[in-house]
Amino acid sequence: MQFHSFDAVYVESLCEGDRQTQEHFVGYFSALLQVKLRARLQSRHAIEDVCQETFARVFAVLRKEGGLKNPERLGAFVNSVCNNVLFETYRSSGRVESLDLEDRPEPRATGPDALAIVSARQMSAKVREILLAMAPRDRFLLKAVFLEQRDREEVCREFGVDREYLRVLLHRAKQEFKTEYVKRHGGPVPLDAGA
Amino acid sequence: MNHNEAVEQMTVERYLLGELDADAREDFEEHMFCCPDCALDSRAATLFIEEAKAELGKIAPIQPEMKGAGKREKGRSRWSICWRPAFAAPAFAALVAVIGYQNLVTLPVLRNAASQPAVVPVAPLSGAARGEMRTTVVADRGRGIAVPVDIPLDPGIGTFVSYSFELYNPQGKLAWSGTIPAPAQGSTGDLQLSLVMPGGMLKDGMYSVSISGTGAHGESTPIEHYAFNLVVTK
Repeated sequence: MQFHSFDAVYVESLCEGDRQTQEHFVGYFSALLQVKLRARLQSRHAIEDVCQETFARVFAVLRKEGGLKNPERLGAFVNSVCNNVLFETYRSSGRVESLDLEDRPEPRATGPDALAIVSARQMSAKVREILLAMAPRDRFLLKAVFLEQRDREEVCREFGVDREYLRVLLHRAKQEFKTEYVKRHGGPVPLDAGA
Repeated sequence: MNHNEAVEQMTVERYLLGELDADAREDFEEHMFCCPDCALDSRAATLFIEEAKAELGKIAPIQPEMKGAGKREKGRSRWSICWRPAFAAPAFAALVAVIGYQNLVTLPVLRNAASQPAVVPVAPLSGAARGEMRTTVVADRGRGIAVPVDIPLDPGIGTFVSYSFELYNPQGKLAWSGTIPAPAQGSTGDLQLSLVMPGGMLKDGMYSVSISGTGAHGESTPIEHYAFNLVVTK
């Protein structure tokens, strides 16, 4: 997931329909929208719907003349649009009218290729390695919190640890995993700013 | 929110653990969408959690030692039983009792003995007992015995820098040895000393004391030898 500077050139390429820029945009912000929405929506279908609607509305604004006044704030704009879509989703359990234009559908994220599949396996292997290096108590702690979704306070009390311990445990695991993630994660093709 | 604040407060971890209130969560999300480092951290941590959920279900569980749990992990050392409350509590109580007794009784008695005068009987001895003649000395185990030794300061014997003493017990083993500096040159007469044997070391049987002088170059010269039969009374 390569970060690229969201400037006027980037936004212009996006509006012009440059495929590489669009794929990068969707890949980058899909990941962040997934992080944001996983705590709010239980259904993967609902998460996918909100993501798609968010992208549709963002593109609709971008394609308007002078749609995004501050290209540097593209990230904040996407977040803001997602908040609006979420609000509408909460308010209404019915369909949200999509702004998707039939003749200009949003670019979909490409499916996993062989490289991505191998990369995913390596990610799993790395996570397993990190977990096996932990003390059994720490594994049980993570399992109770994330897999069994138990109350954090109750879990910390049961294991005789405080919330800070849990945070540090997650932090250390994340730091160790991030090294592998940055090295191997197959994301959208890095965008050439000069293209 | 700026990036430094997010890092210092471990905001990514708090966010993913659901510890942020609504306002803080919105602040962080707006920051996350604009900050590439926090975006990467969040994405990596989220992916780790998702993968961990899958892997944790596969890893064979080893029951951890939780607070209040009584189970023992497999393969723990048998010495771990020493730390169980049922064993450790009486052991610590005994240790405290021993330390208390030593501090309250033993040490004061020893300090007292080291700083107070004591009356010790003197065994009348003559040096160089010959043949079967041995002086019998009766000693009290409660008070010990003082063995007088006289060292002649005769220049004809030699000029010494120090005198060495060796005490042999009834088994013929060296029970004690000691050294004192020789008096200044020109002294005459005898150097009169007492070898105090505490009651605790006394046993019935034949004891001997050997005295030798050490010269300037370390050479040793026998000077006196005492032998006596000790009878110990309670």
